[in-house]
Amino acid sequence: MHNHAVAATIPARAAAEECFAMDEGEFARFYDATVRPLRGYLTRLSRNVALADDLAQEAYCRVLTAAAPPTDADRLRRYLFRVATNLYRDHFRRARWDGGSLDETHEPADRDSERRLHLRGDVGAVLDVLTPRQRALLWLAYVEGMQHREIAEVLGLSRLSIRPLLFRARRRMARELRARGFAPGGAVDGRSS
Amino acid sequence: MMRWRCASESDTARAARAGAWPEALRTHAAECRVCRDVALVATALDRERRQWSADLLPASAGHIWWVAQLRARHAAAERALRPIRVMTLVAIAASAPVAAGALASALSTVASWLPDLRIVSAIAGIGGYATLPAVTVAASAALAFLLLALTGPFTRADG
Repeated sequence: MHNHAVAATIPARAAAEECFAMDEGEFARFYDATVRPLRGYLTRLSRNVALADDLAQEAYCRVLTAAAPPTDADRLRRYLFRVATNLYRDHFRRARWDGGSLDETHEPADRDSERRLHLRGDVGAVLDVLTPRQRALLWLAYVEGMQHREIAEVLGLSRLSIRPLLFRARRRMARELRARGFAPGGAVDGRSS
Repeated sequence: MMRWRCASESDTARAARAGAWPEALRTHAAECRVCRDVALVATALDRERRQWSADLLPASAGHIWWVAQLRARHAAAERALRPIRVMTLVAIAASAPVAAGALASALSTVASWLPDLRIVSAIAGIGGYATLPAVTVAASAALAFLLLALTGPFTRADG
């Protein structure tokens, strides 16, 4: 007996109600609130728009079908980012997530999306220099505004390791930005206007 | 020794994201190396975020919901079929000795016919006496494999 033949006899709504921790309206609100930040994160992390889309969709499906996802909105958001990070990590498990030389951490990216990223200017090029973990750390800390404890939860690292890792990533990115003459308009960099 | 942290680090990151700098924080950040880096990086990343969030066209929530529903249905089907698959395997395992006994009995019956068959074979001119048991065993094995394949254990769960 084939799986899809049996699946066709099961009402979709019944299956969803049995398996999903949230209803369609709740999911739509959660999705609207998180899809852009998540895709921004995954796009920066993977440097591949198509892959980011696939990973984002897969992450939402995993969250929906999870046995016991967090009920608190903030924790659910972090859970989503964690699932997405793990999916990315699985995808590039052989590409040395933890870093190394630039060549070692340069994941295969589709050329169109990579070109689009580079056209965005120096910030995209600077992010390309960083390891995936450094990109993830910086994005979660300074775009998502997460605390060290939350970053540790998303990336599966110890809380105490976040500060030195973040420090090194930040120092490296700042050095690259300065080397490219990046000027944060209206900010405080001593060398900028 | 290089400083790793500054007490104003979080405030500096928030100010950089918001683009609003209190004068005291601006003065501090201009002198503090940690906060200067934080401001530079946070501003650059925020600029990057703004560029990207403007032209993202994400798939609809309804599409994701539909995909997840399909998966839930297949998972439910898999759960529903699991007992049937288990019982099929148990039935095959339980009937294997019976089938083996029946096969052995059939072979012995065939062996008792062999003198007659030898006569028939000799008449037909094919001299098949020596090869007949092997053909019988091969045919029985093929029949058993076909039955197993049709009853499920060798069919894929995803069709």
